[in-house]
Amino acid sequence: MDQPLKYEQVIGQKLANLPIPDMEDMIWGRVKAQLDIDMPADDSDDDGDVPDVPPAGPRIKWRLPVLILAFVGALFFLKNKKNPVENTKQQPVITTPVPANSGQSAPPNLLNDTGKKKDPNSPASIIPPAANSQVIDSAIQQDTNFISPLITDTTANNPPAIINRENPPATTDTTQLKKKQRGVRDINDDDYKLVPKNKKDSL
Amino acid sequence: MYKKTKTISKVLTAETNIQDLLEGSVANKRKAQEALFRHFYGFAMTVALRYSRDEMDAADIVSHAFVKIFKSLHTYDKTKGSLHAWIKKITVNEGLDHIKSRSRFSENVELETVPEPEIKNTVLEQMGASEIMELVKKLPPATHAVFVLYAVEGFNHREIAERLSISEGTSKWHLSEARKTLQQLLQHY
Repeated sequence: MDQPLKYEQVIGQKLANLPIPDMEDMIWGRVKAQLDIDMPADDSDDDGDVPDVPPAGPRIKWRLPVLILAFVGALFFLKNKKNPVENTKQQPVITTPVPANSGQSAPPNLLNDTGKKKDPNSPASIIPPAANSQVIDSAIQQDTNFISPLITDTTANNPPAIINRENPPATTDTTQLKKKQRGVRDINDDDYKLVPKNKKDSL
Repeated sequence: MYKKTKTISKVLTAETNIQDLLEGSVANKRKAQEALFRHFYGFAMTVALRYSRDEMDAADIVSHAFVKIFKSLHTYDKTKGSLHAWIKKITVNEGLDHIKSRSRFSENVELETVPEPEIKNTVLEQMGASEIMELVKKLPPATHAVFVLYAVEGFNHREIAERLSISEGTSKWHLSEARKTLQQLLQHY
């Protein structure tokens, strides 16, 4: 058993002369593809006879994701830039009546218009610290506290702004620098005094 | 295609020295690697065909073998053996790995003491290489591997046992099975 038999030697000789299938190019393609992954070559020995892979191929591979990322980033930036404007435009303004002597405690960080800390028991309205809230002071409204009809979005998550009607912010009227004189010019109070000319004493 | 073939032939005629191809391949030059591959393709494919069921299997073996060859070419020492022997060794190992991946070498076998089957050489000598290969492919994969290693490559049972990580007895059992099966198959010719 330790020595090949005669017929096995014949088989060995025959199998050494097997016809070779014409798969040379296909197999080299596989080998080259695997080598390109495992051992990338710079191919500095190109002589120009064999067309190589177009140089744009690998660049597109990394350019395309970069372009997509840039586009998505730009969209995200624009969306974020647009949202604050819309929020300020559609900010619901709600004024709610606050009982004058309500025992409810106000948030400790609330400030009045002058920036001083306010008594939580005072009948003042509350201005939430939300940065984007707006306070509307309308002269048409007679009530000191009212619910504004400007509410457009009841599902908004932003807290409603509460209008301070009792302590409106101080405004200066630059058009009334001089006090307007009352009455007609050159007529004083003495001109209106009626004095009878013929003083007769009925007594 | 014509351009490519022309380029390769130009490379081979210009660099007839295999040593230049080796140096270029070690330097990871694709042109040198391609020329070296095409130079040894026929030799490697002949080895791979002995361990494969069909041409596509052989193509897998050759492609994997050459990837390993180029990756480890810098470790080749020509003082220890010829380049042909080194490439053959890698290709055979790849072929055996291919067979191992689709079959198991049974360990618990009992070697029967049966007389060696008689096979007439005249029948084999009249057959072509492809016909004989078709017979060998009909063997179970593990038996096929042992038979090729023993009858074609010239390994003894101890070497086969080391390569396949089996015992010498298992190697002998597979050889015996191969001989019996081939005898049965050759009776039809």
